[in-house]
Amino acid sequence: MTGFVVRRLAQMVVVLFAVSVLTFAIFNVIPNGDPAARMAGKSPTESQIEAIRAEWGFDEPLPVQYVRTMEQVLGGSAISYFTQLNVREEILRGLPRTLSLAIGAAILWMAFGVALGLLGAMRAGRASDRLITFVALVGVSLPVFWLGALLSHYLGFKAGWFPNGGYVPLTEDPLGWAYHLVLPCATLAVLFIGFYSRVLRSSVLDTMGEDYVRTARAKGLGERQVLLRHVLRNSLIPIVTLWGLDFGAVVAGGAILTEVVFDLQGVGQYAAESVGQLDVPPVLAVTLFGAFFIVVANTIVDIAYAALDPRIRVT
Amino acid sequence: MGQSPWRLALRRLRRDRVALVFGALFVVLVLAALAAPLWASAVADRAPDRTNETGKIEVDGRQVDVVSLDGVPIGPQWRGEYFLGADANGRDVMVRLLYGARNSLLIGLAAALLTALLATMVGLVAGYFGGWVDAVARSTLDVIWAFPVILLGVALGTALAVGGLRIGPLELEAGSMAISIVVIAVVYVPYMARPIRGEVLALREREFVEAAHAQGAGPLRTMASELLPNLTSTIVVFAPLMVANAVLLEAALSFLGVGVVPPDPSWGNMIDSGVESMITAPHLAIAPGLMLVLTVLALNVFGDGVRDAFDPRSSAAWGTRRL
Amino acid sequence: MSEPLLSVRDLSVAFEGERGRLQAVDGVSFDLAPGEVLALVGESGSGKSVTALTLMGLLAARDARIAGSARYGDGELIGASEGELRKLRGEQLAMVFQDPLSSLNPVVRVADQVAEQILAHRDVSRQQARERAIALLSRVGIPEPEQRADAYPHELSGGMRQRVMIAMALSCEPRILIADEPTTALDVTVQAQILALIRALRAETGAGVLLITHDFGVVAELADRVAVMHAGRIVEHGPVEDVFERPESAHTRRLLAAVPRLDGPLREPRVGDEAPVLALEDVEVGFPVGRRLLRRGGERRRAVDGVTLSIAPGETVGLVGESGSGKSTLARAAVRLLEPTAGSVTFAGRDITRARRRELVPLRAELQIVFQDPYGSLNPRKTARDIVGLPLRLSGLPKAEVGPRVEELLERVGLEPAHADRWPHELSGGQRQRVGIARALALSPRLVVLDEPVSALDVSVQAQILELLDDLQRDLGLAYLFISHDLRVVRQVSDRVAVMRGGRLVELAPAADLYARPQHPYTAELLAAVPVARPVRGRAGTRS
Repeated sequence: MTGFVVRRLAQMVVVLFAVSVLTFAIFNVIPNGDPAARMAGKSPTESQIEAIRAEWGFDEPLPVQYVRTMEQVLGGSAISYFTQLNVREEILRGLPRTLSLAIGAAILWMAFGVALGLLGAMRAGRASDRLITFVALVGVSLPVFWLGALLSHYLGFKAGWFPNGGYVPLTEDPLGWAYHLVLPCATLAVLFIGFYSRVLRSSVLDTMGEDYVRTARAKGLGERQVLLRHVLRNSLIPIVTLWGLDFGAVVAGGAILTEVVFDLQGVGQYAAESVGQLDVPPVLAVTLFGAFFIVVANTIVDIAYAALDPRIRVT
Repeated sequence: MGQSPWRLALRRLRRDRVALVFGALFVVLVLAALAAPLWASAVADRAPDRTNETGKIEVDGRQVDVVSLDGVPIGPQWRGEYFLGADANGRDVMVRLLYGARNSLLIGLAAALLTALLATMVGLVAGYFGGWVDAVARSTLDVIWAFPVILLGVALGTALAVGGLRIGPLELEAGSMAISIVVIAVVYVPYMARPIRGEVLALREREFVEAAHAQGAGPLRTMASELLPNLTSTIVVFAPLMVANAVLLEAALSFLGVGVVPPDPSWGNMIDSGVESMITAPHLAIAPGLMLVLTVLALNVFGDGVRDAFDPRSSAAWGTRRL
Repeated sequence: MSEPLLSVRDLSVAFEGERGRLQAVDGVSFDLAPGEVLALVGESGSGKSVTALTLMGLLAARDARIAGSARYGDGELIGASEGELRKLRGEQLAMVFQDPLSSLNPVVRVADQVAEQILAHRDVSRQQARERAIALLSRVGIPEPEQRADAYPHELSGGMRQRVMIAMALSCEPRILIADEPTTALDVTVQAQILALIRALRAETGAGVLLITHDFGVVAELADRVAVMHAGRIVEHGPVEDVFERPESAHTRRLLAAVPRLDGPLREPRVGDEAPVLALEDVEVGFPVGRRLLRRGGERRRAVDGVTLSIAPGETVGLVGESGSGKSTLARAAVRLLEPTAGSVTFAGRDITRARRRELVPLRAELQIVFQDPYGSLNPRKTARDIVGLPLRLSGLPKAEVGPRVEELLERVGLEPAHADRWPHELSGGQRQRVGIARALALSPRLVVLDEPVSALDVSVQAQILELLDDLQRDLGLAYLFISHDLRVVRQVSDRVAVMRGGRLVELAPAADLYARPQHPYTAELLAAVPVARPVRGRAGTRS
């Protein structure tokens, strides 16, 4: 077990290193990406650009720049090229917003996804199953940014049932916090509900065909017990692992579109805005932060998988 | 002549009427996109980027501003010109929608094709050879996987949109659609390559692969003529869903301003500009959004039918969504 | 005979499938008395398992049409409500399935799986149910039941798992035990133990046992009465001695004649004194233990551990062993699908131990292998023509000559030209194995390694394939390395027999000597575990 954790941690560090180099390269190896020219504003003189270049160290070799930027990013002293704001503080400001959104949505999509998937599997082949399937497919076909815009316009702006975007900290006003998060969470969850219900449905149907489910029936167990203890217990394993991965991905930038549409000012929105300006330090920081979340989620999922399924024991 | 596994699957698919209807819907959408110039010249008589900020048209016998003085464009009309209304610059929304469909569908189809190609190659080679080849392939996929999809798309899109890309003979101009295609294709490779690799690993354990080796077949022949035919159903099952994902990601990137560059229309950038005028002219966001939903839904329903027909026990393709 | 427990009359089951109606069970009638063992015996597809599942009300297919009657006590099982059946299942009628690994829930501890059934039918506390479960585990012969109680199924051996299944079935003292191929997935020594256990429990509990099996050996060991099934019907029904001694139906006679026996005729040895075609010298195959990364040269598990064996032209060497004995690994090393970690492999006088793939290509024609699983060894996406044609194309035969040669080969193994364009899923198990043999024969080999070539086949098909292999050997002068877990089959086909255990050869002798006078205790143990060919009176308790 310790060996497994050590190995995973080493793997994690390697992957994160690769991600950081790649991100840095994307913005620096590409032609016309000279940040000094862009920071100097419109129609700068050559000497202005030179000055900026020297001040920020853009004239140094790339590996040196990479190491320095990474030192700043990891040390928390990195500063945006454009807004001159401290990157770490910006991320810390956005994090509770992104986490609130992700946690709320994850709970919604797991609950509804499992309920719909189970219902579909139990009614497999009947009209109600086909209806659920269709609804799920509509769900996975709705672009988040479009759905969000429509919901916030019609339910928020026109009907006035929900606030039209924005965020209220939990510590200031718990009710307002929840109230502001209803639409964003629902919007983000729709897509996942759709495809979790599909995954669970086929997973349950697969499990129902297993020999041990027939054994459970042969033992004279009630249908409820067969379903909960033998079918669901096994078919939830893939869903739970998926859940971990998706939660990591959502925190790590999967919620960008939702944040932008509802103007939540989370980490994702910060990243999207920084990327638009080719602002390397925040992009590097957010990408690393996101990759870190995804890799951690992957690792936790691997461990959880071993805990849920005794056949896979980590050595 | 016997019944090939292919023919059995196609027969099952033929019986799935819902899937066929939605498959046909997708074909209709593609045809509509192809017919965009026809509609522009014969029905609407307006080019997609022809503005008309001060013109008037006749509605119910009255002359109406295409764009009113306070900047509100007219909505959908029962007539060829401005069938779906105008946008803030007086351009014909229907015409732009059809031309946008060309861009969105071209990018989606090409990106999905490229993803399938890359993923199959990577999965096949990694799974077959195992060892260090597999280790290298897997860690590369892990790195791409670790990037948040949209963030990676946006970053690559932004960077390339400024400078274009030059790798040896391959040259992508700044602002070209090829950039979107490559970005989207690369982003989705791990989602398809991983299950294919897994399947190759399972197939390698089957005795027919050993049998081929026992006949003296080398790696290339084993991969191409023993393994690949057994991967086709997986690839076929993935294909419609990959196209749907690619179309959605293209729309998202264009929505964020890093895909198709205006004034060239795509559904994503039309929604982006439409959302800004949601209050005065909701049709500008709703129309391209509906087209997008319809396209993706058609592909998803058809894809679900394909999955049922070809590989009923696989739910792997549903793990691909990380928007 | 006492009042029957179960009385089945005119039971019929039909499935409506994609390809029309399939009559799986067709007017089956029988009675089961308390304390007796009735064997339903038949080949695959004869309807015996469907019959058992129908009686339990466990037939999963929704499009099954069931007719007829099955009376249990005062009640009727066919058409009973799910609620009524649920009360009977596990309580009055219990079932043991074929594959204990897939039939046990992989994520629930074994004692909990047993206790669950007790809780479903008895008004006891969790603690009492658990205690009773552990007592049952002990009763079915699981050592240290307290410790094993908290194990997961995959942590137990195959035999232990089947004991857990039996403990589960017995947990509420059922009146009827249905055992569906209870020993088919087990090694022969374990099979003997499980059969002894069922025999003892039957005597102890007085339950009626309905035994479903394809194996006449198991029938002879256990059954009081036999019903032989064929194509959904019972073609013969009677006391076990009568059926074995005086079979009335032609089908039964054919089946009995096809069963390989330990007391059947031996074949004439065909060993010349020519140089061996294949010689294995101290062959060792090791697999690294644990993860490979950074542990190169570390600890290895030796699947094959110093095996020396040679095969003369035209000779058949039988290789027997239980699962995990390393016999399949040895087969792969012999044809160089695997590279031995030590020792040498000499084929036709050439050392091929370290030969590279390209160097082996010309030898592949003469050194061939036929695999066990006639489905897994054929590419499901290729027609028989392509499969048999592969070695021909690889050898560089002109395209125009491949077709006729393929048809010639298919004819040689007893297939019709029409079979050439079929896909594997359209062929029966026996036909598939014939295609596999045709592929191996394509380039006129000198030695064919047969890795469990008939284990997945029904006994009548098995006999046909064995006969085909014998014909081919006579006509083409082939040498065979014949690998099997079935000592009866090996005895019938081999000149010499090698016994493997834990990667080592424990005994190698001419067939006649080995079976008559086994030198190694393990060989003797294996031979003692083989089910008898004929029922023996008063056998209860003769084995343990």
